Amino acid sequence: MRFLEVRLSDYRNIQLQAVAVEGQDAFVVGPNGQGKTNLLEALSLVTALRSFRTSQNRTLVRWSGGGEARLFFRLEHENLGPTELELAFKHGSKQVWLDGEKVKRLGEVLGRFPTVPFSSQDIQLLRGAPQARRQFLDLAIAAVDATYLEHLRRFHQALKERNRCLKERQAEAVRTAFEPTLAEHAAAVVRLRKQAMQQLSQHLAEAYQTIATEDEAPELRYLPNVDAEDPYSFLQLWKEHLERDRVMESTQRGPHRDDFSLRLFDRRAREYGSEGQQRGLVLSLRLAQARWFQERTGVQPVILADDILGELDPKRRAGFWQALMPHTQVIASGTELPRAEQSRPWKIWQVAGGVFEPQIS
Amino acid sequence: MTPSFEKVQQLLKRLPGLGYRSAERVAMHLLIERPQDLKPLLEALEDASQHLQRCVECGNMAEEELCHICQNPQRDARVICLVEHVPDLMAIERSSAFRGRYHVLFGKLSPLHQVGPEDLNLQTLPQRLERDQVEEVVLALSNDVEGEATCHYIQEAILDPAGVTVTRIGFGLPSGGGVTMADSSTLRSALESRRSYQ
Repeated sequence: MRFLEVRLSDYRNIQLQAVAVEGQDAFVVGPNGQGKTNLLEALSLVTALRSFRTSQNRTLVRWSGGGEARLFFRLEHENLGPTELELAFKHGSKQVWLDGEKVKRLGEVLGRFPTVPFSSQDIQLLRGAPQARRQFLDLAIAAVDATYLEHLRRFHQALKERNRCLKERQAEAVRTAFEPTLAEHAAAVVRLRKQAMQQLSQHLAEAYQTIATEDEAPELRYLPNVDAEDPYSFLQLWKEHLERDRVMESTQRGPHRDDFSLRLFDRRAREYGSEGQQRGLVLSLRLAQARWFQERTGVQPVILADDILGELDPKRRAGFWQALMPHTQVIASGTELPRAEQSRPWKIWQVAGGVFEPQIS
Repeated sequence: MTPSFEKVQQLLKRLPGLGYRSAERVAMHLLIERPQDLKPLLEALEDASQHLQRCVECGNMAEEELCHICQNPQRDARVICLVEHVPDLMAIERSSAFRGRYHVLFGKLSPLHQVGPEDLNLQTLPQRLERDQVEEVVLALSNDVEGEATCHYIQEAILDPAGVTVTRIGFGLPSGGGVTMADSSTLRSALESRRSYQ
C-alpha cells in the first residue's frame, strides 16, 4: 500500500491541510510541538481506526475547531487499486467511508490498510505491563485474520458472563452453560496466537540480525497463561480452579492473562538487555510485524517512523534502513534533516504550527 | 411544552425503539396534529390488552387460552421449535418451512443483563415434551454467546434428561446472496455447516 495524499481538517493542531506525498518516501522535519507526530498518527488511523498514542478519540479533534475531525486519504492498494478512504471522529464516535460508500461494520476495514508505526513509546512493549503486549498481539493478528477478531470478541463476551456468574453466585448450571463457548474461543485464540508468535519470532530474528552487529540469538517467546489448544483442557482447568475463581469472583486463568517476552541469549531482555539491545529488539518487533503482514496478506505496510533512531548508534541505524523491505513507502519525522546513513529518495516537508510545506530542492 | 405533554412524552420514550425525538413526534401527532387518531388507538389498545395474552402452552400471542398454532391439529406436536421472541416465531411462520409447534422463551440467559433461567418461559416445556411425546426440538436461537449458552443450558437441564433429539438451525449464507458479499464470520459458519451435495 502507498499513501498518495492525505487531507486533514480540525485534526489535533491542524486546521486544514493537504499533504500530497504521491506514493513517495516523505520526511517531515520541524521543531518539537509543531505537528510531526500528529501527521504520522493520522496516517496510522487507517489501519485499526485507533491511535497509537491515545485510546481517547476525543483528543483527535482540534480544540478550537467545529467539533469534528475529518481525514481523507487517497491510497494505492495492491488488491483494491486506487482507493479513497475517509474517516470522521466526533464525540468519541467514528465513521468510515470507502470510495464514497459508508462502511457499516467497522470490523470489515480493520487491517485492510496496513501501516506499522515506529514510535519512542514502543519501548513499553518490552518494559511495560502485559496488557500493552496483548494489545499489540491482538491488533497484529486481527489485521491478518478476521476470524481471530471474532474468536477474541466472543471469548471476552463469554468471559464477562462467566465472571458475572461468579460474582453473583449464580446457579452452577448457568455458569457451566457459558463454559463450552468460552472454552471453544479460548482454545482458538491460543492456537492462533501460538501460530502467530512462531512466525513473528522468525521474522524478528531476521530483522534483528540486520540491525545488531553480532548474533545475539533473539527470540520472541509466547507465554500462554494456560498451555492448552483444545477446549476440553480449558474446561478441565476451570473445574480445577473453581474454588479460587469463586473466592476472587472472576476467572483467574485463561488467554486474557497471556503474555510474551523478548529474549536475547535465552534471557529476558527486559532484565538483562542493554539500552541499545532493548531498542533494537523493539524496532525488530515492529519490522517483524510489517514483514509478517506482507507475507500473510501480500499487502505491503507503510512504515511510519516517528523520530525513533536518535538513541541508536550509527551502525544500528544503518542496519535499520537495510532491514526495511524494498519498495516500502516510509514516512518519517525528525527535528533535523535525515542523516547520510538514512539516505532514501526523501521528499522533505517542513512543518510549523500545524502547516506543512514541501521543501523545494 | 406543557406538564401533561411532557408526561406523555416521558412515557412514550420508555417504549422500545423510541428516543426523545421520536417520542416527541408521536406525542405531537396524537395530541395536537391528528387528535382524531387518538380515540381509535386508545380503543384498540384497550381491546387488545383485554383479549391478548400469552398462549399457556407455548408463549405465542393468543386471544384465547391457546394460540392458533397450538389449536391447529394439523401442526405436528412431536416437533417443537424453540425461539427467543414472538417476532422470531412470526418470521419462521412466514417462511412456511416449519410444520411443528413452537416454544417462546422471551429472552436468553445473560447474567450481565440479569436474565436467569427463572426469567425464561421454561416451566411448561418438560410437561409438553412428555405429554406430546416430542421427538425433536429445534433450537432456533441466535448464535451469539448468550444464545449458545441458553441452548446449552436447556439441553443439559431439560432436553437430554427427556431423551429427545436436539437439532440446531443452520447459520450461513442468505438465500440468493453471493459468497463475495458475505462477511467472514458468516462464511465461516456457512463452510462449517456445509453438507454433501446431491
